[in-house]
Amino acid sequence: MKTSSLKYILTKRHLIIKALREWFCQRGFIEVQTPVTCRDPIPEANIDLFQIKNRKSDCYLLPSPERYMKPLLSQGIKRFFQICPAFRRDEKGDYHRPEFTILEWYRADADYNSLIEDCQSLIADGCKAITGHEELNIVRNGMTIDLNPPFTVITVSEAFKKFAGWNPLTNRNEARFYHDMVTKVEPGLAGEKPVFLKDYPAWASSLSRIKKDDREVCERVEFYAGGMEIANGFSELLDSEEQRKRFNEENRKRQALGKKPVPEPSEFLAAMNDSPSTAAGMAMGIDRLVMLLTGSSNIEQVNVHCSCLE
Amino acid sequence: MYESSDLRKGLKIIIDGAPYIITDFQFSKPGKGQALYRCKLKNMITGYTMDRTYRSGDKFEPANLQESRMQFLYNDATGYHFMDTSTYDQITLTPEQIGDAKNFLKDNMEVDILFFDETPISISLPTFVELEVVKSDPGIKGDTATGATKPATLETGYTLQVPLFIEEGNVLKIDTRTGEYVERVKN
Repeated sequence: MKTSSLKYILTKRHLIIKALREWFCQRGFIEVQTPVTCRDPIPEANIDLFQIKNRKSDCYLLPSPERYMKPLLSQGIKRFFQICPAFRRDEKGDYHRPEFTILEWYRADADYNSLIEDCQSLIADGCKAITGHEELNIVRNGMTIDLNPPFTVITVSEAFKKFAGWNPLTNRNEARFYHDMVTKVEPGLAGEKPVFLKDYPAWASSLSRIKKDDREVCERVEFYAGGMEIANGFSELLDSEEQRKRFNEENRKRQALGKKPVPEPSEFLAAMNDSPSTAAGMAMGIDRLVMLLTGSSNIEQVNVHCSCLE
Repeated sequence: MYESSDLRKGLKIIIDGAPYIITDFQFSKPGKGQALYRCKLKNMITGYTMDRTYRSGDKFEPANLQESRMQFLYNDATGYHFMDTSTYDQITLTPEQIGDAKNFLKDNMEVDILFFDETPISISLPTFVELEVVKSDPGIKGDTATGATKPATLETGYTLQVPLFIEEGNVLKIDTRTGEYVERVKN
């Protein structure tokens, strides 16, 4: 079978998703299916939404399943996951499509350190599923990537000092932060070994818990492999008052960028009051994972193509 | 106006008053962060290339570029002169703007001229042109090696390699993209 053919890719994609599903089922996670539409999505400054015109009132296509999944913590469900489509307007590039597939999982009574463990183990199982053996080295763009855990862990502050020459924790400059993240830090992380980048500035993640011993830092972690950002997770913020303030701040940023504010997600906030005191959740880009494990260079190669939302 | 999300390879925009074409384009977006649009741009008049990174919310003026079909009249010390056959407007391009196209231009030939606002900036030739051979030595007798060629000079002064059977006075079809001989169209 030609390695670029759709048949080859879809077969590998199936094997990867099957392995991920098995990983969760073996560990007592339940699989959920939540709606992809919503009237009051999570306010996020840098995510643009598709709006659907409907007879009664307009709604949005969700950019992530978080809006309906996180409140399930308040239902007493301790471990759950979902594999579903997600929609983000105007995101189109080698690693971006306006419609893509997310794997998202939550654990009650856990923090972001357990997500690092989960992620390493999941990646290893996904890799074994397609190589068929214990071999965890893969070749991508002529470079060998070593997927044998443990992966490198580096803080945002260390990575910025090393690759960009400044510390975003002591110098808040959002525009420069994202510019240098893309042009200096991410290329610096594109080595043989996958990397967890953790401990983001508190302002860079409105849904993460702030570190107890350092109020400038939030407990967020991103997973990079082969130069691609594959997963993003955090210790969940579960304080509804604090979350409301941060949502207002995100809506203010939206307006400053000339975007419409979104309605406050009141059910989402209310559910926090019945949630466990700690929980962690992570989202993984399935298309990018398939790209990584099949050596594909463009996200369009790893699923059936559709240009409707471009 | 274009927005950042309209940026893509091949789009023509104005930067500092000059028309640029995007020759390479990359969309980047760190998780939950601001999108960055990284472009390689080429100045359509000078050929100067540069890298620029744009953000969401940036706006761009489209470069108003139009192509007009024009007839080549003649060239002299002031440049290459062309005329719009419907309006009789005449324009002049410099030898630098004409470039290698001079090898294939003959009087009355119709070409496309690209205008930025009212200023002509470049020429595009038909893919194939027919030109007469003005000078070519006869092929050496007995030389039967396949693919053997000899030089020939065309009416424009351009010299190229042609098959041995080509003679002075023949009209040849030339590919203007490569400058190579295609076939003989008239003995």
